[in-house]
Amino acid sequence: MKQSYKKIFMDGLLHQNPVLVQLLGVCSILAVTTSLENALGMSLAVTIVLTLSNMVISLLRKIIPNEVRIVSYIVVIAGFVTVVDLLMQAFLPALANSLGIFIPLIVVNCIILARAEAFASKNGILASAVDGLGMGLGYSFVIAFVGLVREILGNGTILGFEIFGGFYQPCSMFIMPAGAFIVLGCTIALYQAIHLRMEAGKEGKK
Amino acid sequence: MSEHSPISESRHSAKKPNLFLEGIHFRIALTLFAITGVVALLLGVVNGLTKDKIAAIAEEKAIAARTEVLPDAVSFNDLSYAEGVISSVYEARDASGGLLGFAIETGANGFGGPIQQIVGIEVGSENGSYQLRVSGVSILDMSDETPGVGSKANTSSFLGQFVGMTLGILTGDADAVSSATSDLSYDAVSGATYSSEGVRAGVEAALTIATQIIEESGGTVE
Repeated sequence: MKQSYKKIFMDGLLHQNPVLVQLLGVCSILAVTTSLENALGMSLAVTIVLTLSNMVISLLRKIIPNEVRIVSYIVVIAGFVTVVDLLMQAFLPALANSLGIFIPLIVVNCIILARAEAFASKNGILASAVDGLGMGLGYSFVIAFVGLVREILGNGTILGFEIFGGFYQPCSMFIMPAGAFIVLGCTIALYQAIHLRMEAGKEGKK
Repeated sequence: MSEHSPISESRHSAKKPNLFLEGIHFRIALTLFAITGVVALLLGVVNGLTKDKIAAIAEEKAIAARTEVLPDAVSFNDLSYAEGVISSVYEARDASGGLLGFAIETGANGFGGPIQQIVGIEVGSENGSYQLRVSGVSILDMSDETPGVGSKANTSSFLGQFVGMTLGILTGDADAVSSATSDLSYDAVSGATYSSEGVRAGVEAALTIATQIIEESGGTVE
């Protein structure tokens, strides 16, 4: 069962989008999307760690015994995240400052474990890297979109810049947890509506 | 017991009872042990490589924050004081060695946890008594506050309102407020009352401790 790299990538980005279709990693999306800046920080961190951990686990897939694979994945992911965290604090302090709280959160992001289990443990290293990148970017665009909408509605700003010039009174519910659920729910509904329409169009052409 | 294990059933016949030493269990344990061992070793090496650098960066940040709240200071001496919400007190001196003020690190509770901040306090003297005024507040870490809500307390417009305040003005003492030369008042960030209060409580604790230090050394504070 060989898949083309393009298909693996597009699956992650759209067709099997980790958030919109698989509903993975939702807790991190709800928690850190209070502003676009936070969302971009988190998406960068997740994409990098997901791609690299997919590669490492794919490399070890023949060594790890089936019975203890989940434990092994978690050890590899947690170790990996800690190494990245320490290196960033030491050599990229400015980036570590803005991403600081998100890095440890990546360990418990279920997308990473899910991709290790569902893809990297069964596929080659290059395919796993492409899968990690596709899934990471798929996660990124959703988290960035939710962050953008919540920041505009809840704070009246984009990346901290005032955009409405005072006539819009920001509705702070959108930067509260309730707003996160509402915006994410609407995003998923919107995606499904577009997706279903496109699928129906394809069927019609046949 | 091992006969009931699904692992042993799939790979071993009942003739081999000692599964642990010879069979699959041993291999599993060994592999997991090796993986955790390698990861632990890697973490140890990386920690050793980065520990000093991370500590140096944290120290640099603290020095920068102290200089930010007391820009005229030339040297800072650690008074090794820590009690309650106060985590450190530094005495700031100018080029000629005169006392300029204090840089006090506090960690008063906000909404989600302690807010680490440095409060700069200027010491002025007039008619034999000292006046203590806030010269600046700089937040080191408020990552426990809600992003986008509590984090709004970390803006120059909120932190700037403490500049020039004395303990009397901050606590709303009527005499101090009416005799203040300029209009100084404290306004919490709307929607972030607890986070604002955490910052305010830290400033108050810093002013209180600075007053105490001056009084202990025999001075009077106006």
